[in-house]
Amino acid sequence: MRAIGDVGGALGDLYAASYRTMGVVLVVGITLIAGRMLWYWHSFAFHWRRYRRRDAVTTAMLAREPVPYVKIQVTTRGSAGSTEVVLRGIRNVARLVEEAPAYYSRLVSVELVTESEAQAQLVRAAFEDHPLKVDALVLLPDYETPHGTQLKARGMHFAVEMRRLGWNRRPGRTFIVHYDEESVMVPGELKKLLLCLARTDKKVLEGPIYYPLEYLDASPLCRAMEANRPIGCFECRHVMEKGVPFHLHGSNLVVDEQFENELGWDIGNLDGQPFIAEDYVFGMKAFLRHGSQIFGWHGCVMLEQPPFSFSSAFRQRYRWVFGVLQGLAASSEHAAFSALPPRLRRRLQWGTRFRVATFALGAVMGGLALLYVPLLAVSSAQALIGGSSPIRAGVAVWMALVGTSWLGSVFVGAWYNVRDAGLSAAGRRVEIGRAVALAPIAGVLESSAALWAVLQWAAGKRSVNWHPTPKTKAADDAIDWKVAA
Amino acid sequence: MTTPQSRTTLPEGAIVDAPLIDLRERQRPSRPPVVEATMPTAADDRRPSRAAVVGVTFAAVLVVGFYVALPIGLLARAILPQAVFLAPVLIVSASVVAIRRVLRATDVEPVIDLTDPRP
Repeated sequence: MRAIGDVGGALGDLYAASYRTMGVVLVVGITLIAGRMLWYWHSFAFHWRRYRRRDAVTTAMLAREPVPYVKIQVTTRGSAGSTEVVLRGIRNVARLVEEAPAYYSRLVSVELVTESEAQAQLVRAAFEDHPLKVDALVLLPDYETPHGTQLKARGMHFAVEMRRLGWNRRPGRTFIVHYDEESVMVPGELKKLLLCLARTDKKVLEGPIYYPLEYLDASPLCRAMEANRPIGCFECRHVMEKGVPFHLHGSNLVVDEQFENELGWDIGNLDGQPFIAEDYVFGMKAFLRHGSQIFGWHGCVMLEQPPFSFSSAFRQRYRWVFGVLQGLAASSEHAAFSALPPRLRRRLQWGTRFRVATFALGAVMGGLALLYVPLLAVSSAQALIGGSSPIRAGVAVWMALVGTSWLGSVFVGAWYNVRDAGLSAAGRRVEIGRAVALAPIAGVLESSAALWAVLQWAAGKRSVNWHPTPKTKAADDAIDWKVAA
Repeated sequence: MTTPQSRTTLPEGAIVDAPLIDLRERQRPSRPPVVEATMPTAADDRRPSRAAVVGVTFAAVLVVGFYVALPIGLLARAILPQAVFLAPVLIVSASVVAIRRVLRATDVEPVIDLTDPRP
């Protein structure tokens, strides 16, 4: 019995001794991550007025403005479960048109770009008798872009080529509003967007995205992971207003049609592999050709849904990071990139690397922190009642600040996500609490996808595959990722 | 601001055929009809059980306590030992109130009108 006690004591000492070394590593790593987090908070605390358009817009107000024509483009592969959510997004545009059919049907239309003929027919039929014009473009199976672009960008470039040929051509200024399959903009936000577009001289604009749709059907872990996202949109606002595209998301992306037709989505390949983050590559391409003044922030909210399962969420995050690494590598080889002022070039490269590194580092630091939770908890509790503190006062201040900004960002994200999820006040409180409670685990799991992508990239792996995140619970349950890959 | 909660059931047999994409789908003899996804409504609320409220609250307090309140407590002990338990509570509460003020200011109204009676 005594021998067991001795072994236990020795292990405890070893554990405590290893913490003396790892504690420094933890503080340094967490400080790096906190640097990025504090940037979000800077935007949240000091520039929140510019984050979202808060004043309601009426049809009468719009009638006095030179509102441009808006084409809402939904790009999809047409895989299982996508039609259900595509219809919901279009239905909300239809509701806007129903408010004043004669007015809005002259201003707004929907264009579905799909790989499924059956889906195209179904969507066309669903809105056949509606004043909203819904057109569907079926991507030809043997279509190839001049640069051999694949995946989602292939469909997007097909639409560009069709428009260049005159498909759905409209007189006057026109904007393309890019939707993901499940994206929804409610009529109130669409009206705000129309007003913004009537007054802007920007060519590429973005707005915030919240994730309340199908909220309770997603696993609690996925809901907690999704709570990390909305605060990131405060950084999107900063990035878009400054016009330095560290980041560009593919939905709630609004592009001047003439500009998009000129630039196109024919982004080609990297080392024979398709780009998986076409949005980032498009943003860099736009920046390298036209500079920062074309970017803007429209501040109109788009609603989307979280992935239903951890497998789907992991793959989604993996694609983001791997895609950005691809895009950064490709941009760095671009002649226009080399021609940038060295300081700006370094800012773009190291800014993006810093973002990716801190995302991936979250898995390592979060995992280490979880390992030392028992030791820290016990020694800290002892210190509170009279023992010696395991950390210095300065470190304590810093850790408290980092902890507040991290859990606060989860609180902010969960708040935005549950606001429109159809929950009562009690339900919202429980969901926010759940996101905060799961944050240590969800954070590690989420950033493990980023870490895996970085490791794969560093090991020289370049192959990619693209299967959109399943958009219904049934499709998510049915998918076999081995077959899908 | 009003928003629809629509639910359109498309005709029986109206299916999306995407055999090139999902091989598992191809192997299925038949697929269910496509039913338009719905917008959230107040009817979606699943009232949390008392056990869920207690469990989640306890877990959230534990996490906030460890990552935020504990370092503040340690700091307070070094500066003002009498406030070792009060300081974390006050600072955490003040942070939550400050964040909520900004959140309420950015979200003057929900994006969706959850009370919209339309089916």
